[in-house]
Amino acid sequence: MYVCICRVVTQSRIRASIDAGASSVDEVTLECGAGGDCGSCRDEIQSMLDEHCGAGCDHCPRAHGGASARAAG
Amino acid sequence: MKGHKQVVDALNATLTAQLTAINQLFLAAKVHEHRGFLRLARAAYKQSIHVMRRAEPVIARVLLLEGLPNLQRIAKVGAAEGPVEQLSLDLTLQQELCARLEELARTALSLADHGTAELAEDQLSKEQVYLHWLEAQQRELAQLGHDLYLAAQIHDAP
Repeated sequence: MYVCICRVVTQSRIRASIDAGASSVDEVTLECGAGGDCGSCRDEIQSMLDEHCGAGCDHCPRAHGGASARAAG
Repeated sequence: MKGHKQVVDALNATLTAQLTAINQLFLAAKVHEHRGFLRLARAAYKQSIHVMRRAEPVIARVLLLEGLPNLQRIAKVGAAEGPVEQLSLDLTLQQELCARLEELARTALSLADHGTAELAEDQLSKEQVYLHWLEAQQRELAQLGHDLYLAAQIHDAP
């Protein structure tokens, strides 16, 4: 499905960005454009990032840029 | 006539689900049409227009209860890459709309706003017809397989 309708970016394209190392919504936006227009899909991109990393991971850079950084800040 | 805030909020939540449905189904109808699945296109188009008509009394009710109808808020529009995926996004959308109407009926009844409860129940029975149609499509898909099912969507028998 199209997660970002504004920039026409599919779920699988975003997953590819995350697999390639994007560790935050801003990095996903930079890499594939998703979330760069109206921003209404940013929550969905964030949950895709969270899902990819999984809970309980506290040593990979993705966790520091995502869930734990948000909890701290 | 001043209404309860909870009822106005529930009416606006219903309106959000309706506005989302109007847009998602209108887009789906045009994409189905573009791809040549005319039966699916007509069903989505008709439902989009029906929901738009049903949003009207919801807006009127919010105004009657001295609230402000929220036409600004809209949930995520589900746009699929293919017709079969679109049907499952539409099913989720329709379940959400029915859930909002059930919630509206419950809230209104608990606060003795029978006028709103009647509106919600009347609309719910209509939305359940489309919900049933979408569920039937899932059953047909499972029975026929994707190819046969999609072949049956090319022509539209009015």
